[in-house]
Amino acid sequence: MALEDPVTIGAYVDAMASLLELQLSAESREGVIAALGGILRLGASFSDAPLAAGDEPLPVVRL
Amino acid sequence: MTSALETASTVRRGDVTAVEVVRACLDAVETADRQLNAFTAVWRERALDQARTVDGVIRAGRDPGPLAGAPFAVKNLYDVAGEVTLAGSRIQSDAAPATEDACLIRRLKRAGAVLVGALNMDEYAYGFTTENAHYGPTRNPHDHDRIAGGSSGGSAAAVAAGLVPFSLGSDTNGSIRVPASLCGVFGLKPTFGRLSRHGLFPFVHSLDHAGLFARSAADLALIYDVMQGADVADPACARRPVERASETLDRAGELRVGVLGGWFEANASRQAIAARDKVAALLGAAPAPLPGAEAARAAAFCMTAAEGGALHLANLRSRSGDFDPATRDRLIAGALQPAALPALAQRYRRRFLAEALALFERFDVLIAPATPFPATPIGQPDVEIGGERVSIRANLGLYTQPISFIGLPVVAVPVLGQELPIGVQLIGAPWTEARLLQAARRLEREGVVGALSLDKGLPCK
Repeated sequence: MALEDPVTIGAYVDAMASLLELQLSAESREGVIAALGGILRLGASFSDAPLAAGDEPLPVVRL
Repeated sequence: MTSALETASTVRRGDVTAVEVVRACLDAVETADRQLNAFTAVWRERALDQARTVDGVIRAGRDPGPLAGAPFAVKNLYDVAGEVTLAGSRIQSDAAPATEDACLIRRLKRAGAVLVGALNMDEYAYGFTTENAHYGPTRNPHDHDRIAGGSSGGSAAAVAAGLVPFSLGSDTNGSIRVPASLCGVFGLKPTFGRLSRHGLFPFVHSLDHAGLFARSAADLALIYDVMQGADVADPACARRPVERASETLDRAGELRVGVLGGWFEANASRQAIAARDKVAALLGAAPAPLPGAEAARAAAFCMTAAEGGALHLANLRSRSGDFDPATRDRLIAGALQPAALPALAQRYRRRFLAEALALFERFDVLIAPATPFPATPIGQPDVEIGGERVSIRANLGLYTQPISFIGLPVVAVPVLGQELPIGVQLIGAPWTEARLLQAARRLEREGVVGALSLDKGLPCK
């Protein structure tokens, strides 16, 4: 799965960092790849959740 | 250090002056903080000047306020007029000094409380350990080789060590509840929108809460009452009337209490489960299912990274070498994540909030551990959870993140009788802080919870 593949994530990081004009050292690049891999894995747990049309984005909780 | 309530009573009666109280506090900080590293600034002359003003009000026969002479300190992301707001970073040390006090500081000072200093935290509040690369780690007062928790670690440690009776912190994903648990003190994260965040350096606008630490439920309630009230300067601050908690603290009626299972007990240590079960037994709790908490935690994690990364993007471009590398890499990853994730997280938030609100039709209070385990050694980077090694800094908030994600109020209570401190969350429906404080007070009176002394795990008097 691409989410588990540091090479794929690394290519994505390099492209996005370039677009956003972020300079990454080799050490930082490794740290970013690890952190982004974690985010993507966690993202899979809620992006697969069943959502209904009424589940509109809630940008700020208004209780 | 006696409680804020007792201190104010003695000052108001004239048994002791505010200057005497504040001087004793400052002396204690000077001695103890060489070891603890809870404070990043101590404002001795400023504090003594303010204490003199309180004494002058008393001498003139006027009301000095309910917190007369009670010293306090704030997480260093709170604006203090004339001081630079560090937010735990090196980068902000170049910023101009704040021009006014944060709203909550102004309200506390108006009530007679005396600000003595600023407290250590994780850089930009992004962490759960207060092992700050620029200002050093804050040490847990119960075991100096262990972390205080974070990100409001200095705030919790200062209260746990008895240096100040109360302190202010902030909680985005658990940054009050986690250090309260690890340091053995009470913490209050009110409903999202209850307390003004004006004058707090932001982390995640849609998740940031202001809150506090104290050594008793009564102090927590009184100080919370003083800080309540609408504030147009914080767009998220609700326009609700003040609902005083201190006046109803001892009025606990029958409570329907539920124990959150599933995600909220998976991966918990035996200490966390034992603490939760003690509280559950006294409150007569029944099982309460809240499915979807794991996904809620994940959604909060991604939303935090996205908003935090966006907030700091300019500095990540121009000053990346001035960040703590661990913070920097997580912020960059957050800024780079696909936009679909935070958008889906926002949709999931609405779903999860609806499920939680439905649960409150059957329960008044829900309980869960505040942290999966007690304080870990300083410098230990990871811990085994669910069969894999994961970062402590990023994962101590497993049980707190799903709750702040939907803005529910929580009182973190320190459970007695444990080898190392550990706390339990009392979680309520929106705007039910008073009821949660009543439950905390009841547990305190029954001897189940209480601020821990530094040697015996007994409640401090």
